[in-house]
Amino acid sequence: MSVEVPISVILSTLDTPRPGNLQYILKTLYSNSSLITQLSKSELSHLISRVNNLIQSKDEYKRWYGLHLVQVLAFNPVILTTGGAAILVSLIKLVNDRSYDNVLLFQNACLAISQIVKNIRGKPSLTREVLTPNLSNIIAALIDNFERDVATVLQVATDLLLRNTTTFKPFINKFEVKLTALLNNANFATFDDKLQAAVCKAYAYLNLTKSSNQASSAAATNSNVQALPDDQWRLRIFQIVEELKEVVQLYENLIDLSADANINKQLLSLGKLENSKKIFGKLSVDVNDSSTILQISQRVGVLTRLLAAFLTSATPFALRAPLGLAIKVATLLISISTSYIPVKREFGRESGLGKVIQLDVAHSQAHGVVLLRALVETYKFNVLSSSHLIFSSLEVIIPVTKSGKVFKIDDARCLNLESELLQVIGAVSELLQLNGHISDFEVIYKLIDASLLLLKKRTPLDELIDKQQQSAAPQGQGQGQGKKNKNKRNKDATPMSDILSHSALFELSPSKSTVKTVSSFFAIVIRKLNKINISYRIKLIKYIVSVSLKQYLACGKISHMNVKLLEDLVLYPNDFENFNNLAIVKNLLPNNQVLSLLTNPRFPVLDSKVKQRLESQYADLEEEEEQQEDEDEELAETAVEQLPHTSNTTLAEEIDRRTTSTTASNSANTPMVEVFKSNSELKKIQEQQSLTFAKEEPSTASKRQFQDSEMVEDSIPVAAANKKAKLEQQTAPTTATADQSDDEGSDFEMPVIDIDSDDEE
Amino acid sequence: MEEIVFYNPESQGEEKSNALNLGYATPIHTQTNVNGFRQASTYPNGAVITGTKQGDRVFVACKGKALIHVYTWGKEAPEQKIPVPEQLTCLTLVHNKEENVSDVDLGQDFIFEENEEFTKLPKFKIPYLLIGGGISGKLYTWELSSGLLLSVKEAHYQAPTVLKTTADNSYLVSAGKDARILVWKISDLVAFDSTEEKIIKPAHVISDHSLEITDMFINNNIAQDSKLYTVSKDSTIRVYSLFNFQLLSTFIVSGIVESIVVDSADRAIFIGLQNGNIRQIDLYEANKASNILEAKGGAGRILTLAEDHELKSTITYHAPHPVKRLALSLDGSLIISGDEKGRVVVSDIVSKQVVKELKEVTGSVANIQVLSSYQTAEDSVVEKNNRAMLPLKRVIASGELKEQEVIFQKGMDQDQELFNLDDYLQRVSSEALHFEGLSSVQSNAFGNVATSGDNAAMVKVLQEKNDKVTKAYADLRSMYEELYKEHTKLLEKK
Repeated sequence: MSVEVPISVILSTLDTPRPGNLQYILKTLYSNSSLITQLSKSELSHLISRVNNLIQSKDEYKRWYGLHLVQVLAFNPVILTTGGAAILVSLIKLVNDRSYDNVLLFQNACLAISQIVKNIRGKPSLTREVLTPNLSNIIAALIDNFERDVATVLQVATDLLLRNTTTFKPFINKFEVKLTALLNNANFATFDDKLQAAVCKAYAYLNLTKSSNQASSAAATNSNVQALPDDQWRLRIFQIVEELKEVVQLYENLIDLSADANINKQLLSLGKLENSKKIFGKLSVDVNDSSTILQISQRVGVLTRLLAAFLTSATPFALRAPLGLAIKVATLLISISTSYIPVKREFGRESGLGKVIQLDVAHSQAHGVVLLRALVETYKFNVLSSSHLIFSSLEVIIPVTKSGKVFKIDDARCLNLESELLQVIGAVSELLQLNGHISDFEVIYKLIDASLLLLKKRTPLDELIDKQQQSAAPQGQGQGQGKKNKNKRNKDATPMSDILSHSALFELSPSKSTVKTVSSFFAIVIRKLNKINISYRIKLIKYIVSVSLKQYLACGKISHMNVKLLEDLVLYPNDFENFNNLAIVKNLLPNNQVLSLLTNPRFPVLDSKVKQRLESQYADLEEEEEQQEDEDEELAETAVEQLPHTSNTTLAEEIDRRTTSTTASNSANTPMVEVFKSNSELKKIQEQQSLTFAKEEPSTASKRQFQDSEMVEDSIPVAAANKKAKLEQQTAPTTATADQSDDEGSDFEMPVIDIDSDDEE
Repeated sequence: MEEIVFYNPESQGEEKSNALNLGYATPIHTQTNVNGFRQASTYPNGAVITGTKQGDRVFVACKGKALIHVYTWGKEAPEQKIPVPEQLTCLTLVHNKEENVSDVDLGQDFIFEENEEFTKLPKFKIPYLLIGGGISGKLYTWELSSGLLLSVKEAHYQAPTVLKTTADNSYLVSAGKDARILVWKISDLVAFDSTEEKIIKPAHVISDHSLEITDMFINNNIAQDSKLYTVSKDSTIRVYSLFNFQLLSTFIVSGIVESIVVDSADRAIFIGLQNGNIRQIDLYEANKASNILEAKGGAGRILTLAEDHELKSTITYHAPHPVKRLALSLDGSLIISGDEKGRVVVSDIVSKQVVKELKEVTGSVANIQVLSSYQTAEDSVVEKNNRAMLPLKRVIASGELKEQEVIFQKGMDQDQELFNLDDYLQRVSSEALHFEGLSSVQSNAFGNVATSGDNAAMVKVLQEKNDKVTKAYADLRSMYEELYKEHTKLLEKK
C-alpha cells in the first residue's frame, strides 16, 4: 500500500516545515523513488533548492529538517547527479559553521555527508564530478571540528581514511595530533569502550600509507629490500610493544620481578628499537600517592588496545602481522601475577599500598587477556601452535588457595575478578573451539569451578553473617559479659534485622551476560572435551538440569540457550559416563526435533534408485490390495518424472526440480521407508510369514536379509542382533520400550483366545 | 551458481615437455570458459585448490621435482614456484575457520538471530596449513600465512598416497604405499616447542590393509560421527569410526580398487575399479521381502560384494582403463570420474549414462575436485596486486614465538545493503523531541569543550566585576566592624 504524497504537496510543505509531516515525507521520498525519477527538470531543481535553503536557513529546526531530508535523498541517484555537489558544499559549510551549539545539527550534518559519500563511492564519473573536488574540504572540515562531537567525526573520518586514503594523506599529521591528544588524555581509560576502540582503530589506520622518514630509512638499511606498503604499520606495532615493555618494567620497582627469572628474560627478549618515537608522555608514579600507581595499568590498557587495533582491524590489503610477538606480549602480561610474585617488602608492610599494587597488577593481567582473546578471535587456527602456552598462562590468572596439597579456587577473589574471569572463560572457549585435544584439564576444571561460582546467587552478607556468628560464639564462656554484648549488639543490629531474617531478599542473581558467556563455555566443554573427569561432568549436568527445571517451573518454558545445552548433554556423551541422562532431558523437552530424531532414528531418504526398486517390488505384489495399487501409480509417475536429464539445465534449476520431485515421492513413500512398523503392519507381515519378528529371532532375520539382498555374509557377529536400525547407545532404552509395546501387542492376543475358549467350555 | 571441476594429470614416462601437462577447471553445467593450469603434473592426490574466486589458489606438488607450483585463480602459468625439501607425492590443506564461539553457539531465545553479523571474506585469504607427504615417507606441515615449517615427521615406510583431514580440523589421516593408515592430531603437528625435540606420535595406527592404500574419504560429520573410508589394492573397502577408531565394516570386492567417493549423506559408496568400472554400493537398501529400509554393514561385519552381472549399479564407460579418481556433484546426482587414459566424464548416477565428456588430459588423471561457485559482480574485478605468499621454509621452525609473523588480512564489514527506514525514523522522532522542548538533549562529553571567544570575554568581564564588588564589600565590612568595636568600647566606658 503506497501512500504517495504528490510532489507539489511536498514542495509546499518544505516551505514551512512542521514536525507533523517530516516522517511522511521521509517515508515517501525513500520508498517511492519513482516519484523523483519522474520529476521534470524544473521540479527537480525546485526540490534541490528547497532542500538547500533548509540546510542554509538560520532556524535550527529547519536546518535539522533539511539534514534529514538529505540523508534520505542521498539514496536517489537522480538527486545525487543533479544536486549532489551543491548539497555537499552547503553541508561542509554547516560543519564549519560555529555559530550554533546544537550537537544534533552537527551530528546530522556529518552523517548526511557520510551518507552522500557512501552512495557516490564506487561510481566512477559521479566520484569524479561530485566527490573528488569536495573531498579534501570535507576532510579538513571534519578534522577542524573534531572536538565538537568526537564519536561521530571519528566514525565518518575513519571511513574516509580507510577508503580514500590518498586524499586523506595531507591531513594525516593533523589528525594524528588530535588523536594523540585524545590518547594522552588522562581520562581516556574512562571513555566508553566504543569510543576507545574507535580512537585506537583510527590511529591504526593513520599508518596505512604514511611513509615517514623513519620508515623509509628503516627500509633503506635493509639494503635491496623494496619498501613494502606495510612498513610503517609494522614499525608502529614494534614501537607500541617497546612502549608497553617500558611501562611493564615499571613494575620492577613495585613487585619482586626478579623472583621469576623467566619473566625478566622474556621482557628483554621483546627486542629493542633505536630512537623510537613515543606516542605517550612519561608517567609520573609516586608511591606516596597510591592512586598514581593505577596509572600504570591504565597505560597498559591503552597500549594493549592500540596493539589489538593494529592487529585485528579490517584492512584494504594484506599485512605482515607479528602474531607470535603479540601472543608473547599478552602471555607475558598475564604471567605477571601477585599470586606468584610477591609485592616488594618495603611496600608490602603498608597493607593499603600493597593492596593497590596487587589491584593494579590484576588490571594489567586482565588487559593481557583481552588482547589475547582478540587475537584468538581474529587469527583462529594461526594461534593453535602456541595454544599450550596460552592455556598454561591463563591458568595463572585464576585465583587459588592452597589447602593441603590441593589447590582450590579462591571464592572471594574470584567474585572480585568476575569481569576478568569472564574474559578468561571467553578466551578459553575460543581456544577449545579450535582444538579439543588438550592434555592438561587442570585449567578447565578450575574454570568450571569458577564458572559455577559466578552463576550462584550472590549475597553480600556472607561475611556479615560470619562476623555475627563469630561474635556470638564466645557467649557461652562468660555469661555476664555476653549478655552485655548481646544487648549492645542488638541495638546496633536493629536496622540490620531485615538482612538477618530475610537474607534471601538481598541475594543478587548473576547478570545475563555472565550467564551467556559461561553457558557458551559449558557448551564447548560438553562438545569438545569428552574425556573430562566424570565428577566435573556431573557438576555440569546438575547445573544445566536444575537451571532448566527452575526456569520451566517459573516461566513455563526453557530458554533456547538451556535447550541447546540439554541437547548437547545427550548428543555428546562423556567417555566415562555410565549413566544416561536421555530420560531427564526428554522429559524436560517435549516436542523437540533433535531428541525426537535421536530416539526414533530414520534412515536418510534415498535417491530415485530405491524408488525404482520399490516400483518393481510393487509390480510383484500387485494383486494384493487396491489401495496399494493407487500408491503404485503415484510412484510410477514420480519415477518417470525423475528420469529425463539434460545437460543444459543450470544447477539451480536442477536442484529445484530434484527437491520438488523427491518431496513429492517422499510423501507417497513414507509408510514404506519407515524404520519401525506399526503393530498392524507387523502382524500382517507375520501372517504372510515373509519375515519373523526381528527381536525374537535376530539371527534368522539378519540371515534372511542377506539372502534377499545381493550380499553374502561371511561371519555373523554374536552381538549383532537387530539390523533394523543402527542404534546409538543412548537410544537403547527407548528402543526397548518400542519393542516392548510391540510385544505387548502380541502377548495381548493370546489371553483373549484363552478366555474365549474357557467361556465356551 | 555453477559447479566447477578441477582436474590435473599425472604424466607417464620421462616426458621432457612438461608444458603440455595442462590441468583444467571446467564448469559442468555450462559451456563457458575453461581455465588451464600449465605444468601441473602430479602424483595422485598431489594437487589442491582453495576455490574459484579472485585470490583463490591452486597448489600443485610437481611430479619429478621438489617444487610446489602455486597458481592464482584465472592464471595459466604458475605464479610462484616454491622449492621444498623433497618431492611431494600428496598434499592437503587445513582451512582456517570463519566462525567464532558466538556464531556457532547458543543464540537468543529466537531461532534466527537478527543481529548476526557477517564480515566479508578478505581478498587475501590463504588456508591455515599445507601438509605434504614426501616421497621418502615424511610428512611436512607448513603454516601458509607465515611460511614456517612447523614439523617434519617420519611417518610411512614408503611414499604416502593420500592425506585427508576431518571436518573439524582435529585429525589428519595419512595413508601410504606401506599399507598403513596413520591418524594424527593436528594440534600435535603444529605445536611450538622450543624446549626439546618434540616427539609426535600418531593418535592411532591402522594396519588392516595388506596392500597399498589407493584412496580415502572422510565424511563431513561432527567429530562423534566422523567416518573414514579407505580402499586398497587388496580389494577391500574398510569403514572406520574416527571417534573411537573402530572398524565398522569391510566390503570385499572382486578386483583392485583405485578410488572412492562417498555420498555426502553417507547413503552410497562409489568405487573406481582397475577394470574400468565404477561400482555403486548402497549403504541403505529396502529389504525385498518386507520393504523396510535397512542399513548395510556396521559392527565389524565383513560383506562380500556379488558380481553385478546385470550392470544395475555399474558404470562401464571407462573400461578397460582403470578409474583413477572420482568426485560427486553438489546434489550427489552426478559423478565425475577420470581414468588412466586421461578421460574425464560426468555421468548421471540414476541412469548410469554419461552426460558430458570433459577435455582430456595427457597421461593419467591424478586429481578431481568439484567446487561450487557463485559468481557476483565483484568477482569480475581483477585484483592487480595480489600479494604473493611467503615462500615455504625448508628448515623446521625453532619454536621461538617471535618467529611467527603471518601475512593476514581481516575482511571488511559487509556494507549495509538496505537502509533500515523504520529504525531511522525512530531516530528522527526521538531527535524531534528536542525541538519541541520535551527533552533536553545535551551534548556528549566532548560537545562543547571549546567555548566561543565571545563567551570567554564575557566571563572575564563578569569575573572582574565580581572581584570588584567583592572587594568593595570586604572593605565596607571591615570598616563597619571597626566602627562597631569603637561603639562597644564607648559603651563599656560609659
